[in-house]
Amino acid sequence: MHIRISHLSRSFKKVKAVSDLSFEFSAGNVFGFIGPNGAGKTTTIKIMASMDMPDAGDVFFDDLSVVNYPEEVRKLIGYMPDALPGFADIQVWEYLDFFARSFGLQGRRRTQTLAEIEEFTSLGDIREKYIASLSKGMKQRVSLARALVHNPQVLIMDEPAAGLDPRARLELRSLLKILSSQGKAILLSSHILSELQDICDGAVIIEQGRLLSAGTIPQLLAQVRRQATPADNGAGAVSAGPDSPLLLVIRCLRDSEAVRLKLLEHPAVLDAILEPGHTVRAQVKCTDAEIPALMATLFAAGLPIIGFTRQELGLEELFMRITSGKVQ
Amino acid sequence: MNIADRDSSDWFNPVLIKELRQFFHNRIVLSLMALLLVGQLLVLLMVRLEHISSGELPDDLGSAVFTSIIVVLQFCLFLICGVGIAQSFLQERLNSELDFCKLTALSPARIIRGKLGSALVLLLFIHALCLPFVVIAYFLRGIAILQMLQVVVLLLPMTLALVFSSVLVGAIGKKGVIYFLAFGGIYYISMLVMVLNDNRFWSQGMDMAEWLMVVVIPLFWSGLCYVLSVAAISHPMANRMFPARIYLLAMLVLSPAAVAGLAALIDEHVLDSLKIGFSITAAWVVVILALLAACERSRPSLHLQSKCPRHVLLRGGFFLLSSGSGGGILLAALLLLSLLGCPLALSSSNTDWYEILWNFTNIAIYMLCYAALAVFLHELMPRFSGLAWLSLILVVMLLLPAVISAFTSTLAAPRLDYLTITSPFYSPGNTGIYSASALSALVAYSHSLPFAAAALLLASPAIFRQWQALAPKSTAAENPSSLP
Repeated sequence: MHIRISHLSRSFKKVKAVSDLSFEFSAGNVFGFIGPNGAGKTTTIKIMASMDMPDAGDVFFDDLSVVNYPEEVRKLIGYMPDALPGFADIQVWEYLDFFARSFGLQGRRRTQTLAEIEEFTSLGDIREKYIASLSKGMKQRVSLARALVHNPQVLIMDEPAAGLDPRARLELRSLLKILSSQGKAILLSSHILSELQDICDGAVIIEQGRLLSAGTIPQLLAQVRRQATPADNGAGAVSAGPDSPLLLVIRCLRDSEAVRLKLLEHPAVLDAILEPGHTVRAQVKCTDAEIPALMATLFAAGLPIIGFTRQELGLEELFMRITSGKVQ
Repeated sequence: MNIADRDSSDWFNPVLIKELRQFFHNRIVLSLMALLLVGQLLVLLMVRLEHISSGELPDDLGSAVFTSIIVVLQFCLFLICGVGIAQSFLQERLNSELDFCKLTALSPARIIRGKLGSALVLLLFIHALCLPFVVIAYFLRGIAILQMLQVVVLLLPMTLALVFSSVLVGAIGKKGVIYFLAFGGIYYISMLVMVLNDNRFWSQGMDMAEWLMVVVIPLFWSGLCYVLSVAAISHPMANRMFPARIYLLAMLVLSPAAVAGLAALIDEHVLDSLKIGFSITAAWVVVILALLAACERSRPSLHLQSKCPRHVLLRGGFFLLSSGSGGGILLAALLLLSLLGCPLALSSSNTDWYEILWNFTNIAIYMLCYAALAVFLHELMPRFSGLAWLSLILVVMLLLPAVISAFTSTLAAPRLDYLTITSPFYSPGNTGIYSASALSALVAYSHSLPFAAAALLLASPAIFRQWQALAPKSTAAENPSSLP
């Protein structure tokens, strides 16, 4: 399955929610859909899920157009929206049974599929409860089960981890890994970028309805490393490229200023700044192999260092670097 | 799939199964059913208190009890199958992200059929609940089983119209629309009481107008509600008004035959009925087409653009029948042209219907005028929807002048009839001077047609732009960012 978003545009009165957005991805991978609030993520996802219509452009699942064949596209995708079901007069199994029937599952096959889905999403114990009486995490599971009931090839999830407790998030993450290993294409939007980094193979970053960057996670990180300059410092600093500075975060028991001054004496250190909590953040132009020698000079000077970390470049830094935070 | 692998419920519509499960889990529905039984018991209790204690039973007691049972039954049907169904469908549709009409691969027609099917099952169930009380009414004497069946069968079209209207209200998915259902319910119950209290109803002596009101119009309305419900839940890109336009045109062809058949059944003049049936239906089809068109999208969807035939003649037909305000207005205008001559042609044949006929035609002309103006204003200021413009126009040009004029006439102040010149209420024919002559139609048209012509002229650029938008275009080059 190959998914192609082609020149998608959608406006709400004078606001351009999505503007000429194009990207594509294939099955078997998890892709993060990232952007600040109001960037156009949900609008794009809704169009992909045939819940909304574009003003221009189209989305193709292989060659099937969402504009021309929305009902056919729905058979291929599982859409898990941000909103959760809250029906007071329908039980969990009845809700799933309805969707299974509506996607054409019949008789023994339907019963078997529903049993498997309930087991996969751990809904067996609550299958006879009314949906309105469930907790948010459980409703999220029902929503995921509903999206999976017809075994879709593509799973589109809008903020699936929002409002979930840490345990539920970990469980969701493991479910997504299993689904991805089954060869499904998964596109999920989330604000919890550190979690996306762990499960995503690639990411699409948009802002103000426009594409900022798209690629695999290593490609995106490499792109930002190339942009990093020695003048960078503070929160915007990035590191760890072959030709770019590293970022070291050093925690001291006391005398952090003395540590900063000692660091600046070293020729490899480009910059060092103080941060709250007796922490020094330093940009260092050296290789990983040279770091122990640098730290040894600090220990030799008798400075009270209690820990240090070589900061990895992550999606959060990437996001902060390439987005401006503007909303429409 | 092997038939042996299917279970019996697989033969039913999934929506029907879901709805029935929900009905019997819903406390409000169950409470209303209990209320129905309590209501029926109260009817019998009142009869016992009033008559049985005195020891004398009037001859028509069974008929009176049956009438009361039917009124209570219909009131509960209105609450359960009317408001209840509309409210539950509305709730499902209000949260667009969880709207199962958009989440499943079921076709819109199948969804609506499932909704209607479940409502009909509920309808039967509620009728069955009342059966013991109907049996008691029979044993109280004064009514035959055939008469009871006749009442139930004759009420069926109106009950169906109620159910279909409720599904339409739910399908539209706007909270405010449910209040129209309440007004409809009041009209329905009052009609019912009126019909049941009419002796002719019991003796099967209804005239043409009553047959139209009780049977033909409710059935026509039910069909219209069905196609509009399907349109309302169809994908916004789809050609969703196509079934509605086909249905209206089919009604235009079929209804004269139905009216003529009815006339033959009740010994009225068949040929006149045929002409009258066509004229009245055509007038209402024009009104409905025009009003719907004013609320439709003002530019064709990408789907329509991609599906439009390239040949100019085929494109013309496609334009008239497919979704879009321009095509709808144009189709209504073309039908109106064919309708204009009818009152003149019928002026000498049937004076009873003649006044009604040209009044309906006049209403159609004005409604087309309002709809065309709404299309023009929406094109000018797209910030407000066609529906908003249409509502404003109806208030300013139709309701307000009528209210002011009526108010001044009751105060014995100088009459302000001329204010209603922008509405069908302004009609010199209504004075009775011209009512039975072809001149009345001409005089009425001389006021309404210039308005309609001016409105169509104003709307013509919008109509032309929509026509042009359907012209075939070359697709843009594609160069999306690619992920592996």
